[in-house]
Amino acid sequence: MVKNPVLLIALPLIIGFFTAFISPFIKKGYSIIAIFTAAITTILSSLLFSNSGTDLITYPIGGWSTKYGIYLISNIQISGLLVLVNFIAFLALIYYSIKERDLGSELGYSLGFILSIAAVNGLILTGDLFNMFVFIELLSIGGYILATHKGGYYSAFKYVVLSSIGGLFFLIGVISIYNVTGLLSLLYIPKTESFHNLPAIFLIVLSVIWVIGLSGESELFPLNMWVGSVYKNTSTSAVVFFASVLSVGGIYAIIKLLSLIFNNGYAAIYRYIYALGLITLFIGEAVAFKQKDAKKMLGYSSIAQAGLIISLVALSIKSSLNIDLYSSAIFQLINNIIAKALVLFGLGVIGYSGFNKLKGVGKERREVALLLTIGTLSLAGMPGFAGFWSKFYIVKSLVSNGEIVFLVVFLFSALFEVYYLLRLSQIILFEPQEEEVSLEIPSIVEYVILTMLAAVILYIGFYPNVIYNLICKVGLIGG
Amino acid sequence: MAFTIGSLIYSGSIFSVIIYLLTRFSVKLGSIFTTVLFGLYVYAIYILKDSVSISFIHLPGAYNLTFKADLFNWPFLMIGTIVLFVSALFSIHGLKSFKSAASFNFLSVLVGTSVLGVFGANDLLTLFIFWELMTWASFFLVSMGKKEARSAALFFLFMSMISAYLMIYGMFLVYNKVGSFSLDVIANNWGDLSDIRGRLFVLFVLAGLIKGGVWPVHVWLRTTHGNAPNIFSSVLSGILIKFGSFIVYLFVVFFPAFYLTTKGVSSVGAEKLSHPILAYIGAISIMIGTLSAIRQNDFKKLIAFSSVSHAGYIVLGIAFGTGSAILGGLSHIWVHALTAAGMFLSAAAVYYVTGTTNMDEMGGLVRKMPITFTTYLVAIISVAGIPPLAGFVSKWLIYQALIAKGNYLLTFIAFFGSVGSFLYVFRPLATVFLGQLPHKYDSVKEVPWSMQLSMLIVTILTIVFGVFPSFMLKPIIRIEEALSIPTVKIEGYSNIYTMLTQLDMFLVAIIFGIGFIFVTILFFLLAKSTKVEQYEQYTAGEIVQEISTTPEIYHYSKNYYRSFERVIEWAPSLEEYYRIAARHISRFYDILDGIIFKSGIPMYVWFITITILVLLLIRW
Repeated sequence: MVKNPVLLIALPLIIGFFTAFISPFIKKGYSIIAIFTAAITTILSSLLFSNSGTDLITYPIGGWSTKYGIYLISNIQISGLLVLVNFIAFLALIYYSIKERDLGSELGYSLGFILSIAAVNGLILTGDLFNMFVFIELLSIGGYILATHKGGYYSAFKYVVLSSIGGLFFLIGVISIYNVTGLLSLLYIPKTESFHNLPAIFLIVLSVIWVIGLSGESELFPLNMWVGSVYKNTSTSAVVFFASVLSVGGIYAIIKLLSLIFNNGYAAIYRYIYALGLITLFIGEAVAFKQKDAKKMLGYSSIAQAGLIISLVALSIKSSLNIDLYSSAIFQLINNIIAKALVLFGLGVIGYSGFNKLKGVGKERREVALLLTIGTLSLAGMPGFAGFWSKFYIVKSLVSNGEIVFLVVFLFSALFEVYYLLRLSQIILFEPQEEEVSLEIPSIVEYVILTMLAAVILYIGFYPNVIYNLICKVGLIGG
Repeated sequence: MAFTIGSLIYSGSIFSVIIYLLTRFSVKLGSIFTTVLFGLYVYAIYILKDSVSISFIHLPGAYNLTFKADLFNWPFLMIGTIVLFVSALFSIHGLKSFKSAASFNFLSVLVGTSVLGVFGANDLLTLFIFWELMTWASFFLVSMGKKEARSAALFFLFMSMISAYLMIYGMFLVYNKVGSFSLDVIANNWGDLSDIRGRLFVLFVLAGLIKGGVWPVHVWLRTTHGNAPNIFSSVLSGILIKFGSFIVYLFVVFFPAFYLTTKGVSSVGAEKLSHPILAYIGAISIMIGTLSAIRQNDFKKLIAFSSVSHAGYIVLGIAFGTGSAILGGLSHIWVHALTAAGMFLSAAAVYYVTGTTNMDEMGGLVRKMPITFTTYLVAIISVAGIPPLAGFVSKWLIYQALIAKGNYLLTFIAFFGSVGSFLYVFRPLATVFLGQLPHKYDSVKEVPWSMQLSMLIVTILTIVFGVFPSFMLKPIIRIEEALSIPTVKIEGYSNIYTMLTQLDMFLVAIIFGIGFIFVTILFFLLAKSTKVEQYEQYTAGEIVQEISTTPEIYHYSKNYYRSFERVIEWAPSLEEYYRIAARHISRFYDILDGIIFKSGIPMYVWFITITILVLLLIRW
């Protein structure tokens, strides 16, 4: 029973439904239900992870054939990502429960969190296009709710507009491919005769339309304009969800589409998505460099990382799957979400994100500031921390494939990234205080959350190949 | 007990945490522990002198960090650990009023391990990892300094990252070709790398020049050295910028010469090793560093530019390619490490008692701080290349090489740099230590014993290496002999034979000593000096309120080289161009932000429409 990952999606949905059902009778404690849900999904995904191998396994639902019916796919990479995402969601919910429960209606936001977990798990697991669309919409709904957590309604409105347009684009793509092949299954579409006969131009538009459709959720250019203002105007738990949970769903959906459908050397299409990714990378780092608000800055940094990851994946499917490029992208994804969660939690514990308020708070909150610095150093790719190794593998795979243009854009943007990330640490640790700030005393739970994430970063920093070989070096090749 | 670089780095990383906790408890205790640790480093490196020690730190998976201490990197390790030790000793009292002493010591130990890691690396990956470790550790160290230190640290970080990224690209270029990061493998295959050798050379040497503070990429030195915490400036200038020289040495001398030697070439001459362009870059660096140093009014910024000029000597020596020039260049690394440490430590000592590094505000400190004065005096004599100190030996070797090859332009520049350095290093001597003591410093005392001791060590080493240069030159001559580079001969402790001539430094020292004693006797017999109060001589001690004069502007150290500065003040500053470039990039990023992210929903509609149109255009 536990081996079937459908519970990862169904359970949060069921719990969510019953939470609403019992809400007239129980007035408090919804956040506990949310924590409980995330804990269960974390355990379930760990069980799935311990039973997974490198082969892609399909889990049909309702007994239909995988060619026509609904089914889930999983291997060790997918289940590993699920463990990570659910675990970070679990930490974020603990944080939500102890610090941000009273920001808005507890029922509403707890449901929003539960819904988002279901949507992300679904997006990562699903094996067919229609369910992917459903989960994108579900993810958007979860996102709308979370974006308003601290009352940033205009930024949430931006998110609504952009991600619904994205959903529309995606649906157009799904309909077109269904018209041609009569299938929605990710694994079977590339095997059909009609798909092989499609003109290159159709595939280009199809892939670009899908990537644009998902660009709202995955924070890629062009539908990512919501990122900065949403990151700035929502609560810490919600922003951790955006940076390290929801975006993973979007990014991994694109990775699945690219590497399952277009993995047989459609050289024509990689260029467009690669360019889109590089533009996103450059713009993201450039804009992040100019920010004066730490959360906003990290938002744009997330944009840049999404661009980097998608470019790498697009490049990896240029001919047949290039596992070096692909695995460096996955490794970067993993390191980025852990470190970003750490930094965002750290900012949440401090309680401010504007640079002028952050100045010198490290002198009063030394431990938090140091733990946060571990996060920024990892994001900046400094040795001793996880991020160094993803940078290492990215440069390694780019040089060995002779991708010098990409390398130059990557390193040039990374220069600015290192600059603004370490500037954040510098502001917190060394700037003299300018404005009077009132800091709350962090609870032990908050320290535990930060320490756990920092420990993971240091662990990967010293034992990179454990994660790299186990989870990243696994291609998604349809069986 | 057998020391290896690996075990030293292990102990360093464990001790860094212990030292952090100890310093939280007591600053002095933490610094004493740091000193003991670095003392152990010095001892360990010293006893590794004649051995080849290979060690590694195991990282699970494909990569191990491998280290090696052998004759090729021993001189670098030795001088590196000496400077670390000296500055740690200085910090026992020097950190007294420092706010974040615990983090300072913690990061200092990390920097210490990175010195071992970079100089003791046996593969490029290890070198790169410790290079980056040094970058972020020193970024935070520099940030602890004065008010402008934060922006200086960011500039330092930016430049360091450029050099790191050049290196990481070069590193994988080699890896792709030879399948290994190991320095030995690269050296053995150097001849087969002909198709990427040009690129490698540019990448690594440029990275080295940035780190080494050589023109035209020296711009980070002024602000970084000038604003870093005083004690750290000595490590930064003494050792960390030598990382750059080390890389240049690896790629300009070590790899090609090692390869030729293994191929059985019996004598690797200058025609194989000389790089004229690089040598001229070194020469320009000497000029620019010297001229800019003359214009500085801040003690530490002045020393920073002197580092630019001396980095120029090192590059000039290494790139000129003859045995004598390489010997001069490499030994200048020792010389400058010691003199930079001596100058920055004396600047730190002055700051410790006066609280400023602004030379306008000081004077006459020689009577209050004789040890600091002596340290500074010896360091600047060495910097100016005046016998009988270490600086003379290395510069003399470089002059010899330049003259022997008949390159008079470079010779002129090298001499110019020497004379120029005397001009600028004399300024702090005259304005800080000599002259009249302002009243506000009437009650200052010489610095505590640990600081005196550390300055004394530097001074004694500078003198010893000058009078008995074989201590400094022998290890480097060993390298040259192993690489089949025809080199100079050295006999006894002080006799150097080059192609042109012979020099006995001990004899020189004795002659100088006699001269010194003679002049001293004359001075005490004949000189009838009068002691004048600072404010007595100008305006008859009156402060003229009508033209708003203050006593300070009458201090003779004000505008010390004004007349000289007037000659060169038209010259543009390279820093200004860097700043303009940065401003343009920044403005461009602002525009991007404004167009894409700051705009509201109406703008998004435009974006989406354009996206759809583009899609339609592709399709039809």
